Amino acid sequence: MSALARNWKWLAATLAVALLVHVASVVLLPRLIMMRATAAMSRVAGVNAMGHGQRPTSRSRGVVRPSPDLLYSSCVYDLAAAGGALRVHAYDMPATYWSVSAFDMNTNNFYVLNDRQAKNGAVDFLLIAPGTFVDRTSLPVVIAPTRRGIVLFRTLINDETKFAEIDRARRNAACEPFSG
Amino acid sequence: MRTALKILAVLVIGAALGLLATWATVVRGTMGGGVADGPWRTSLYAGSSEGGPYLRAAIALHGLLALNRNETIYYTAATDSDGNALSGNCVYLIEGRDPPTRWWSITAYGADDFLIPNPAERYSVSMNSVVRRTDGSFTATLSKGEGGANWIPTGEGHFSVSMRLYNPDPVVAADPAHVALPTIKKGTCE
Repeated sequence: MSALARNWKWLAATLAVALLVHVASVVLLPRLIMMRATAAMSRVAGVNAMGHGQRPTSRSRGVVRPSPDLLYSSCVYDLAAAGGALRVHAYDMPATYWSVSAFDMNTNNFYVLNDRQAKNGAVDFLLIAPGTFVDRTSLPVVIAPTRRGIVLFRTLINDETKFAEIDRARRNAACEPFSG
Repeated sequence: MRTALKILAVLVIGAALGLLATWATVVRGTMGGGVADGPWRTSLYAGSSEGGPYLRAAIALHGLLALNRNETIYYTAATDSDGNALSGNCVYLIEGRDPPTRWWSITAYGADDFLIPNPAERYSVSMNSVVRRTDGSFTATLSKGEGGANWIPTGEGHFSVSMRLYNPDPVVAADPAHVALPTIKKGTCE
């Protein structure tokens, strides 16, 4: 009997372990990377609050492949800690491209709205957990697929001579727990 | 005792093989659902829940927090137009015209997917900053040393470039493999 025939059960077990580890690592990788990103971002402003990052440079190590032409403001959300609803708003944003996007812990971009789609150059909405009922609000409601995630504002520096003005205005973006 | 060693070997070798497969498919592999346009590659499923687990893992590693295709399309090139890997030892010319989009930029990244350190702190050219010829065309230079008005420093080693198209015209999402994107031509090498 050959060595292969004698050890086929061990070989099959090795392949089964390899398959299991491979599938688990592929499936879990995005969530692990999101956990790392949310931990890094929440060091700036905490959770359920907007942090306004510096302009990306080669020293920026929070998120891969940042754009040096954009200013990023991020709000790590935890809807359980927010009581189920988070208000995201921005008024008087700069006159350039900007967008607000929301990502769940599986890295899905489940919501995005840009300056051209925003009414009167402003955005104001509630981010709520699945199954949450929000009373007494006229604000649009966005349902987050996961209770934790990231809301990200991108603001384009379309004119270097107006950098200070753009940087000041993009800080109007905010998020906070909503209690009705 | 012998059986315990065999079980340990199964676990260690199995885990190593599994992680090797993940490295080959996700870390080194190309994005699933991808399309090529010259040296540029993109995936229409970036940021989308339509992407499968492999694409999701690759995006998380190489392009976390990517927007969906209606908002932004991200093209990445790790080779020149002849298919050779981009190297800091060579000079490259990016030649083209404005693509059909509201705003665009071309940015160089090191092998670690972060911006490349350089004394000038230059990392990109964009629709706003690029210097064009009178006919609207432009040439940007990717090089370690000084490269003129449209210079993007590359540093040492291998690198890649990303072209972001914000609010692209509908034609881009409809046919991302046939957008008139710039070419990347290799010049002199050390």
